[in-house]
Amino acid sequence: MHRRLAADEVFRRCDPAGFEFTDTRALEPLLELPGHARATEALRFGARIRSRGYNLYALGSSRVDMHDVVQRVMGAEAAARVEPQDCCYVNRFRGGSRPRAITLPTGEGIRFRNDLDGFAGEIGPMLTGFVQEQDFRTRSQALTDALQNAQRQALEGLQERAHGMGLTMLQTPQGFAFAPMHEGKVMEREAFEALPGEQREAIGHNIDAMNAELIEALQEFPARHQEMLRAQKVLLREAAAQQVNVALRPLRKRYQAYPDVLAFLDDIEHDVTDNVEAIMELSAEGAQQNGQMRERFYSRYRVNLIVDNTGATGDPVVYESNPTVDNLTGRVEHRSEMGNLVTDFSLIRAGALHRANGGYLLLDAERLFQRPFAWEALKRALLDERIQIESVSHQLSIGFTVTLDPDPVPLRLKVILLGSRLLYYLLCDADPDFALLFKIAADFEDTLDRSDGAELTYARLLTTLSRREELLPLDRTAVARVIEHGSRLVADQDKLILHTRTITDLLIQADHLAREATAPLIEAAHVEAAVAGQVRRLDRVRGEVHERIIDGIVRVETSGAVIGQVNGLAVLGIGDFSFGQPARITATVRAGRGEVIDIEREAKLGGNIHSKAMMIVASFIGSRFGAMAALSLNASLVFEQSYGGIEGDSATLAEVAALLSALAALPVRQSLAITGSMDQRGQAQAIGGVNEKIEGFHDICQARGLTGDQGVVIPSANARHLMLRADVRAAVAAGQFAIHCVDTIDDALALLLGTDAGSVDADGGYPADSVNGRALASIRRFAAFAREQRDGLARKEKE
Amino acid sequence: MNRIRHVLIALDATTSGRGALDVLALLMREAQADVVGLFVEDEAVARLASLPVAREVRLSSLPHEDARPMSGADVDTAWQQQAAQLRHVFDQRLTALQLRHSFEVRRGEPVRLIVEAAQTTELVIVERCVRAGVRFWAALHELAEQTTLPVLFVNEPWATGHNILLIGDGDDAATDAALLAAEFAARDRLPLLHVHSTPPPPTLRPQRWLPAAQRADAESLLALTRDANPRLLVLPRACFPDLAKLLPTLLRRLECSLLIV
Repeated sequence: MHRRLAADEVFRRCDPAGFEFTDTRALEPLLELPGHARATEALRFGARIRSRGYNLYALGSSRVDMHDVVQRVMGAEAAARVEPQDCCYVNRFRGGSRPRAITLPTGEGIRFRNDLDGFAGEIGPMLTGFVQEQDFRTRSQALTDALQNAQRQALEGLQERAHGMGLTMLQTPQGFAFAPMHEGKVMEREAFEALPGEQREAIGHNIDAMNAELIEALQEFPARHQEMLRAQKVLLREAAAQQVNVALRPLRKRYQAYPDVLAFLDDIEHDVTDNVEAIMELSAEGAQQNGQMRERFYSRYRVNLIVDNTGATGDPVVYESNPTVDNLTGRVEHRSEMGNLVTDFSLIRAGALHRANGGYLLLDAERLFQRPFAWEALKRALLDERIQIESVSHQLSIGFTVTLDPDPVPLRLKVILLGSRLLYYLLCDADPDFALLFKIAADFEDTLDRSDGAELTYARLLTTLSRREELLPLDRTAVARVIEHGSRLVADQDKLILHTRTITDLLIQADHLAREATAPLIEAAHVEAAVAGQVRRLDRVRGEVHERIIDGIVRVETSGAVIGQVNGLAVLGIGDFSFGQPARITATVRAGRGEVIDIEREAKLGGNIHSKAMMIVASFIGSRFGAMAALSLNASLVFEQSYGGIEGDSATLAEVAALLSALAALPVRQSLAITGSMDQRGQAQAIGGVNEKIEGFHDICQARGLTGDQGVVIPSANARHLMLRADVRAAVAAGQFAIHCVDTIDDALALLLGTDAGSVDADGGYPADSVNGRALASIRRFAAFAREQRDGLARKEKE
Repeated sequence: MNRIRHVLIALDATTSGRGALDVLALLMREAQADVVGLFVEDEAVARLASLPVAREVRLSSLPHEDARPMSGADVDTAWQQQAAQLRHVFDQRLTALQLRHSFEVRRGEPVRLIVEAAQTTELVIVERCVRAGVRFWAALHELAEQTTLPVLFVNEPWATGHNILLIGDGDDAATDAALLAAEFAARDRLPLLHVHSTPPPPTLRPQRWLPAAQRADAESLLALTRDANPRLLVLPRACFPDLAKLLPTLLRRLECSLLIV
């Protein structure tokens, strides 16, 4: 039996008078979003298990709400512990391309950096000062003096020997020469030539001999000088080693519990000793203009603190909104020097994994999968339990710059992916690593059960959202209207939508309208206008579709009766907006082999679910009539004037009705439209989009004039989903438009064809005037016709 | 140093002129002065070059060549080239300093030439370079004996050491030496260390001091300068009656520049 619904059954009203408050100023905001107890419990459970692989996937359809809840839960869990670590990179002097990673307890990182900044700033002046101290200078000067004395003595010795030979050593423009002396002066040419030949010759020999000695002495000078420089270098290195050891002693004591730091300090000691000459040069007064060069040199001793958790009150909770590989695992930047891109440990930048290490990292799953290589990088980090900075360009062998291979950092954190259910199921199915790494699912509710208590909770939720957005308070009529709209959005009288972003948008728009009207509160009218505005901004396509129907371009009858033609109802979705569209479904029958032909499928316009529904139709017809007569007929079904794909099974009732109308030759009331799925036994089943479908047919009928005969047939199971528009409710209340609920196809046939479907009688047949009886008669006629055809053919073959 | 209006800079073929000109730029900044550059051609070298036995050991040829014959023409050419180069440097620097200047080339006995040229000047600057690890022109100690003018022996490079060291008693504070030393310290932004012959009061210790008896000992003076590491050592003639004996050693072995006043 069908049941015609009353006006109060097609909409669940929220009575403002039922609220004890007059507006939301009287309500306390909620501390947490309602309805997510299951997800919250899962999040806490996952957060507290410290074992490997217990990362979380928060699945749901509202990313904003998931984010709020996850942040709150993880924030509370993180506050209970303080185990984050500071992380830094330092130079590895003898393996420059592999900077050393050092992790330290919270707050130690910045102290370590400051200590090494101090060291880097002091080591130059300290060494310079030491070198200028008396003791060192005396030792160094002694080496210089020794050399100069040796050289001077060598030359003075030569001079003395020269004097003994009556010669003197002179400086010439380009070197030295020995000159014969006469009466304290260099001998005149005339005096020289006046000397006997033997004497002149002797002077010549003496000069040659002295020159030979001079050359021999001068040739030794460079080697002596080098020896002195080597000795000075050794002296300087010994002094540097001693000084740097003194400078590092307090640091070694302070960081004695950290082997990595101690190893780094050892490296520094060796490096300072190896580079003491460069340090002295940079620290010299004349090098003051080379401040940049000096700073760059001393930066080798500094610390690149990439994660500083100083002042943290709990474990870090980090949300990375752009989870690229670089943003996750960190990156190595470059700077341009003389046209080349160069890098060093100071250009290593932390990724979200570094910042969240020891705590929680929140990532949007969809965004993660949109970033090339990011999922693989994240999995590798979680599986290996370490963060390895990797350059994508070098992985692809398209990097042409010098880069680094920094030490990996030990990783211990929980990753919480926020994503859709579909992605979760896909990952479970397609990636074995996913199940290994994300063992906890936190499934978020999309709806809240609508009880009286829940309505008050919802009112407090509206209070929370309006205060968060600094909106006007809502009076209780507005609260009631939002609650009604909340049920409409989920198409369920017993549920309320939980997507705070959707509700907040509605409140913001209603607030805007209220402020324009200089109202002190948001009222129901403002909410109503905001809802209408949302529809109006998006319903251009709906208007065009309905206009074509009303103009007759697309044929949809809303009066009269036609054999084999039923008004079905489809839902079209465009972005955030969906609307109902009536569609003619027609059926034809003819002699054949018992096939139900789905023209949509034949034309490759039907989806899988639609094809399944058509098979159910064929099965139903076969089960209903197959035991009584041979099904020697073919039937064809089609959505008329449909040029796109057809999917879903919500037209099953309509298709069976059209087929039986054609078989029984009984016309179908065109003033009714029908929607509903059906099983093989003819039981009506619920479908989606019932409100939009009903409103779609109502709009066509209203445009042509409501007659009181018009209405929509729906499965009884869909009655609770009705949250119809006000004008449709008014038409129902006025008896101008009807909503009929049916439990079976037979109930629907009685309504659509105006004739009882008919039940199997004692003879195993159907009453002759019933729909089934008339259909059975037609089937038998087709069978007889087919038999005659076969017999005639057999006779012809015999003849 | 506004009271010095005439300066003589003595150069020879072994010098580059950089040290002397650096000091001049330091002293004569914002001053009006006449500067005479004197390039000295040592007549002893010219005389040697005229002898048939003259041989020269050229530093640039070591260690591959022996001594080569030396001719007057070669020496003249070398002096001319060196003098031209120094004249060019001299003109450039002094023009930039906006100082009136002239440049002369004279041949003769170096000390006599410098003393003659310095008769109208108030300060003599002599640049000494290091050759083969030894500082030459030590023979110029006679210069300080033959003139009462302040003589500044500038080591090249000038900018070594960390202070200006004046050795003299407190009574000398008003003397030219003290004033010049203070002037150098102020202009070069270096501390002025004043070493007295009497021990300083306990409140000023560990200030250095040098007993008067040790002033005649070159080794004591050298040890003191090694200790103080000055850029310039200033010795007032009045405090060093035996200066003539000290100078040959000091000019040979002193690492810093030396000002005799």
